[in-house]
Amino acid sequence: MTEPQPSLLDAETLALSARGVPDADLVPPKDLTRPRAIAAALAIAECLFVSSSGPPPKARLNWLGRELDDFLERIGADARSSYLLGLFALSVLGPLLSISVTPLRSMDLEQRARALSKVESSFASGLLLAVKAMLCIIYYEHPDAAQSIGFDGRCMLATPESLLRGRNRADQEQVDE
Amino acid sequence: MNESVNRTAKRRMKKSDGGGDAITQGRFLKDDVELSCDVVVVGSGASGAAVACELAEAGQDVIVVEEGGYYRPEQYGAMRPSETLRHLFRDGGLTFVVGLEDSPMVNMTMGRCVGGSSVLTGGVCFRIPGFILKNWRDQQGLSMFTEEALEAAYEAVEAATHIERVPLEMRSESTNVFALGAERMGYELKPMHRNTKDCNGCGRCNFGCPHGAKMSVDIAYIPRALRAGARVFSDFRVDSLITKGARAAGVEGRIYNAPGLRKPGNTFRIHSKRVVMAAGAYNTPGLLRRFGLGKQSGQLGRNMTVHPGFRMMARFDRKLEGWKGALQSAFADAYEDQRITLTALYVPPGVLAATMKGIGREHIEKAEGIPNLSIFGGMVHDDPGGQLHHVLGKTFSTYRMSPRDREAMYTITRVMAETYFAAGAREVYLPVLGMAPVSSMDELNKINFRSIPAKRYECSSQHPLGTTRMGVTAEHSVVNPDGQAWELDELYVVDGGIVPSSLGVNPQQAIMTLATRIAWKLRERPLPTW
Repeated sequence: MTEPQPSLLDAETLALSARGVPDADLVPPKDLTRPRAIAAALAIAECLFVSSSGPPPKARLNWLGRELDDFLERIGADARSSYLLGLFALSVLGPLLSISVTPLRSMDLEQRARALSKVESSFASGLLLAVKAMLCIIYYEHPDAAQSIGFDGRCMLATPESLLRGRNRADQEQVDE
Repeated sequence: MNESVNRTAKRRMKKSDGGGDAITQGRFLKDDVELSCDVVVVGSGASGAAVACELAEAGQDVIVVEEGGYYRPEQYGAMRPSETLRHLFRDGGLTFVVGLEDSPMVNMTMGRCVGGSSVLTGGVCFRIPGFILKNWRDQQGLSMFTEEALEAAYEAVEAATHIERVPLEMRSESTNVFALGAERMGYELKPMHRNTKDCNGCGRCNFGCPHGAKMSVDIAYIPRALRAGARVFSDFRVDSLITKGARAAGVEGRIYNAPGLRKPGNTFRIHSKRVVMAAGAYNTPGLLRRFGLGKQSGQLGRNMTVHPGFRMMARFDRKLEGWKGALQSAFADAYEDQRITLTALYVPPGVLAATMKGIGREHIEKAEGIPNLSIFGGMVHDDPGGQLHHVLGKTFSTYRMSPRDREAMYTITRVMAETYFAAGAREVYLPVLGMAPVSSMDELNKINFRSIPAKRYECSSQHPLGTTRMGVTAEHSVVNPDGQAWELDELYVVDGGIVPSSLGVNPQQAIMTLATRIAWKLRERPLPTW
């Protein structure tokens, strides 16, 4: 099957699409392409996004996992390999720097947070930043996560009218078929 | 699919095989493709689109091949930033330039889509500064580059892309507080010029304009080129050059149409009388190397400048909601003598959150302060310390920052931090990995910037230039001042690679202008016969 192409949508569907991230429950289940790597990433995400009310909801993490899986699938082999290598290095360095034999994924949340904090203040901080960057970019696109940090980014979202304007501008001078 | 020069047949092919759009999307094609034309343009970004448009409107039969996919404005406009990253950015935005010795690692972001990086810029447009042109004339012998000689090309680009000044009222509060600090420091912010039309200032131009307001080349030039009869193919990856005697005679490669995500499938072969390379300063050298070129001068892939950029954040007591307003509305050239340009910017909260130190509650607490954050950026008008390397068909790059650029990096950091404190910031987040925020001028003054390894600086770039630089001799450059490759007739390079030095300002308009100038020369130059 070739890559699914975002279809040319009517105004109503564009409006839905412009609304932002769909409710996690509405997202159809999808088999992950690389479940082990995603599990490793979610172990980091789970403690990275712990708030005073505890870790993020499971459904949101699952959504994050699916999105990250899709992202990695599409970005090309070189970038994907680099990211996966970064994840692997973190899973090794985390326990190593906190002098523990427990794998990062098996640590409880506090231990994991301590291990990652050690990485952050070590020579490998850039590595953590690269992994953290994609997790954060995707995570805070979720409307609930965005709202939790006071981000009201509605003006960044398209409206049906604005999308149609883009469409018309691209069309206005094209060949009339 | 074999050659069909007949225009009607070409249009039928687009409609039946290419996804029903005026641009043929390779991913929907089912067969090998063989075509011929006057000029094939490799790349559809700022330079390629401008050249294709100018040549097609002059009556030449033009084909544009683009490695990336085609996404219409209403498609990328509806995407979330992470979707834009995975669909329109090269390597999902994860291209890194390795810093050598005491140099930062540079995150280089580039587009890979119809429209190229122009779809993903803040829309900032500058003419080439006069002192840069003077340097080109005085130091590199490029006597033809005067402001007067470029005026007509500037005007053509400015009209085509609707370059306008960002009004004061479109400045975000994030920019306004920096402007206040600048005023108290004794320098001023000047209004930026951008290629926009009916912009409402929503702060996310660099992930694809959601309002169809940025006049990127997929809107400003490609439709014009199509109307003039150009054919544009997305998902076409060029692998090799077709030559005929001592001249370039076309390109061939693979189409991303095999089962799976962006897997090469069928082949294409395009015969042409002239080949124009516009794949960008980062990608064209790899292709030329693959074509067997670049040995004569030894300059191919060298001399890369990147405008290393550094982002500073500051927390204020009140909500700024910096996402409300134009992404890039103002700049300061007050430190130009120290080779620094300061520019307003904003990035989505997820990107901001990523750079905040801390795991768990510490991270979340900082992220919750995002509405109170202001962001400003600075870039260095750098020396050519970058180099592209090609190993086993892959391109990777290195960057060796010069000592004076390192000094400029320290100055940027200090000046922006001082400006924020002058504006009343509570905390300033220096662009240094793992460093705690600085909460006062006293604390700032105690920092010995020279003791911080450059590798710890967070550095990004969107402006690779100079890797196929133009010049007046074959010994010191890859192409002549008209873009003609020294080593092969009828092979031209028109992208940012030809720019012979860094500009110190965003290069989008300069690239389009230089490409337009070359296109006008090509219009006058007779095409070879088959």
